[in-house]
Amino acid sequence: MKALLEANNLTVGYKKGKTEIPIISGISQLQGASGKLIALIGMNGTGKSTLLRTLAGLQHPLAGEMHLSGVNSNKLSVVEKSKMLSVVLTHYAISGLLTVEELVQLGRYPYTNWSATLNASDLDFVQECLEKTGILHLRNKLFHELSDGQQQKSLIARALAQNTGIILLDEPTNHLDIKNKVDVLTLLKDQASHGKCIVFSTHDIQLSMKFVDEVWIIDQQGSFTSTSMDNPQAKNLIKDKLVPAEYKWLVDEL
Amino acid sequence: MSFGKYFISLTIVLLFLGVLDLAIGSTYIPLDEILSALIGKGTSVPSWEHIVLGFRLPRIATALFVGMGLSVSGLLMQVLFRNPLAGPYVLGVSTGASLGVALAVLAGISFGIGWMSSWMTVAAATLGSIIVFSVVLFASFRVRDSMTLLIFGLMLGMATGGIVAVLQFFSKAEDIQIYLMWTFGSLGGVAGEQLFILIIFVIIGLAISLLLIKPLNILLIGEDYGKSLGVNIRNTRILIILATCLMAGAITAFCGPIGFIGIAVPHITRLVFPSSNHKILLPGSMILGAAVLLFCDIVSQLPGTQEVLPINAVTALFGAPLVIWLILRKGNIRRTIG
Repeated sequence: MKALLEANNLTVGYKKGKTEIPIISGISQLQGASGKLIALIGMNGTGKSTLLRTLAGLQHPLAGEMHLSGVNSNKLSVVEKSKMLSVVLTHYAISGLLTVEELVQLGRYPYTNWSATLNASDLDFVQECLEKTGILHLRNKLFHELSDGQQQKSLIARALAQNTGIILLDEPTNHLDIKNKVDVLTLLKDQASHGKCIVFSTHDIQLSMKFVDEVWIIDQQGSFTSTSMDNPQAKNLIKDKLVPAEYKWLVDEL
Repeated sequence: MSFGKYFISLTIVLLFLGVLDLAIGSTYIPLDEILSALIGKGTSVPSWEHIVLGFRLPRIATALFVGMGLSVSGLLMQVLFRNPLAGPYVLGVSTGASLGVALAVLAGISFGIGWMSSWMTVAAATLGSIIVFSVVLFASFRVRDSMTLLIFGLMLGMATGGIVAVLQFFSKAEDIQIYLMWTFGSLGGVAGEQLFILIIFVIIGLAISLLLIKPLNILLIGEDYGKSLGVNIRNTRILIILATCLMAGAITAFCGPIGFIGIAVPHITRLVFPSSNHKILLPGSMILGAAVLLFCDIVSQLPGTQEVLPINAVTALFGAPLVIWLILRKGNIRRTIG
């Protein structure tokens, strides 16, 4: 199985002035393989978004290195990275003038020339992404006219249009009703089964367990663990790492 | 969606406004005489030829390029700062120019007469905007997000304005009046070499903007997404600032701080061309900016009278209500940016 995403001794966090504030240190067993759907879980403030942003190249790691398809990410240009990895972020501020189709078309930009002209195969691919995400009928609507679920699907369609092996999503199931949560997870599962490596952070642990192949856990001490769902101890491990002792009695079964 | 028809009809409007502006002025010149002056056949009254070729034509050329430059600068700033109230002057370029002129006029640097004086104003304004521009550019290397840069530019502008206020406070009434006349803005008085330099600067700024079509489109979904789509955000930001300062700086230096156009025309453009693609919006802003400023110039001539209003008064008086009307009709303007 091909590792699309790897990290060695990675430390993620922030810089405040000259002081470094590490949030998760020494991540070394992080490996995202082709065909895997992976949930990144951890309590609020444990650094899920920071880790995703670092993996996506949106902020610098404090230490360590990352590899995309075996190549050190420092050796890749932003344009090369944009053809390997795409993102769906929580804090999106999308212009009100963008229609769903225009938004998804932006995903093709790494493949266009300076004037951003889309050729026929780009347009076909955009159409395909709109179909896969089930929002083709909304193509001419403005992004802001959509419901939360539809917006999330359009953002995923945009990421798909970028045609990358890796997709990182920051809490894609947040604020969605159960139908849309399942729609989104099913869509991601299907995409992973076609060979992509998809990592998403989430608080919908129980529901996500039914879909994912692997879980990445960040515990409160800021240490990183990954486990395959094939591991019979996976659920206990998650419970151990994420449920505080005083609440264990509330959670019998994940 | 195809916008070809819009562009063709706007070009016709622009031509019409150009001809109208040529025909209007404190001296009445018949249309056929204007035409024969333009094609170099001379006029029945010799001074008419000079008025048409030496005054009106340069003024129209100035209006065209100033209108295009300010509108595109405003569009660039609104996209960069994701703020519908941003305009070409938010980075303090015009207050920098004002400071230069104020220093020259109010701090008593002696002025020559005629062309000397006009070049002095231009030089002082240019120097002022270059200084502010350098500070802003330096800041843009250091500052991570655009919002901080926006506040930086606004504060810089206010501080510079403070210095101008102090200078005014200690100045003679006649000097203040010269300075005030400059702040009213003027499309006349730019001709020959000055017009050539102005046009060169605006063309360079517009050329840079055209190369920014792709990053500008991507900035509509934010800098993070931009980066993940392979855009070098810092370089883009620097090019946007460079283009804006070249255009707004040169325009302010030659014509004074002409207001309203830079903020309003991008909004009018988005309403006329409901697209998010800057391949449409950039040329749209150019053609609409030129048309709006030509229209304002015609109004400022107060057709039928001997008086000429300051261009700044006209752009604001006619522009502000127009924009308010457009916004009320079209609804939420905030959404158009971010």
